[in-house]
Amino acid sequence: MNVLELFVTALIYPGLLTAVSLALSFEALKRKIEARMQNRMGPTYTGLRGLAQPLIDLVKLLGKEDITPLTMHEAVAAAALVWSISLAVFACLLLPWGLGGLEDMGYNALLVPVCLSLAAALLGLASLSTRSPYSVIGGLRFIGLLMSYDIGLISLVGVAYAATGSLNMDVIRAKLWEGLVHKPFLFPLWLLALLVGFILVQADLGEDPFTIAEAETEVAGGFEAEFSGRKLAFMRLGHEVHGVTALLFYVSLLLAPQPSRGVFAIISLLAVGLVIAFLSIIVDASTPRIRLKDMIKLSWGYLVPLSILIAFLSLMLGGAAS
Amino acid sequence: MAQQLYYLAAFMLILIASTAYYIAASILAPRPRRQGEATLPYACGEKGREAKSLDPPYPLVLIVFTIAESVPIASFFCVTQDRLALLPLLVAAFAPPLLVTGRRHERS
Repeated sequence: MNVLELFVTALIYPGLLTAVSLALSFEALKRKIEARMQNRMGPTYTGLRGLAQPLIDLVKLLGKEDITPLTMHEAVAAAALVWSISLAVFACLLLPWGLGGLEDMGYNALLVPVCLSLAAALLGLASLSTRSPYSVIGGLRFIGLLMSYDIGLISLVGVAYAATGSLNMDVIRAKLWEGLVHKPFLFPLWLLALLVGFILVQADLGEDPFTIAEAETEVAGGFEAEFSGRKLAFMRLGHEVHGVTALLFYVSLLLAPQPSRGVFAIISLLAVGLVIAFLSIIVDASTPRIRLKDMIKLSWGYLVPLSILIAFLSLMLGGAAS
Repeated sequence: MAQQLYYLAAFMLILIASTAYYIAASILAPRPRRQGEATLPYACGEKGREAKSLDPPYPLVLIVFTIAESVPIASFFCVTQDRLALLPLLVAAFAPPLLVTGRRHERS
């Protein structure tokens, strides 16, 4: 790989530009579908049928004045936001796109969710740096909940590892189905992982019913309360890139769209991602927000232990069979 | 080793690009119109009360994050390195915080 290829990989495909475009496309799609489900038009003015509205919103926020509380640790907030978005984009770069990108180091199935967790924790850290009671409470909620979802996602890697014997994302995407055919006893665990993973991705995307961290009625905007201008733009974009990357990670890990190499690998990954995104938007538009107490009980009390149990059983059964 | 350097270089490029966007936005955006008149964050309660600010629990967040993240990762390395005997120990280490979290919220 020469320097030019490295620049293109990191900044255009499948790096920064691709990750940001995917995040904004998901946001546009969500706004249009949700509006239709609620008997509204949604954005109509900017771009084709209003689909460029999230991009314009981002540009507008970047150009707004930045009002910060006196108590804010300005450097911590700025560094946390920039590092968070960079880590989320880097995780997107490491997905098994099937064409181009960086060669897998052999354990990217663990590296991607770890980068995502760190990105989420840094967003929470940015909230804490404001030292405002609203933001600190919102930030702690956000960190606690997002960490639980990401730990669940890391655990679900166990199913893919048991089926394929590898933590290399390219190998997992190429051999998952073959592995499940050869080890049919893993099939029920894979189905369970698929369901748990979808719930975790829904939470990672920050969609209903898991929007408690930013509940306006409870903590006046939650972790975003004291942010405006470019900081709010970076925070929202970071959260969206994080969510979309988590969704594509889930698709690559547990659905492994075929073919796994070539141009059609990119198309199949995005097509299956689109179907899951559509399901996620339908769930978002049709479910109410659940209370914090129930959310914590669900995530740390059920989803995380269940994910660990699925991983444990898969690894035991998969290891015993091989 | 070369592969790890490519990873590091790619991440640094993304980081530099993001920082450049942030700095460009801060240069191009207008100054706050009421700069110098910033107030403390709103306190919960009446306007007359003294405003409150919280000291962020940075070290605590870092410790909790590291512990929570390390358990699944360590479990994977136990399994992939055939050190399964360590797994029950890790589960035992992870169970008390989960139980405490669950109980605390059942009571609240």
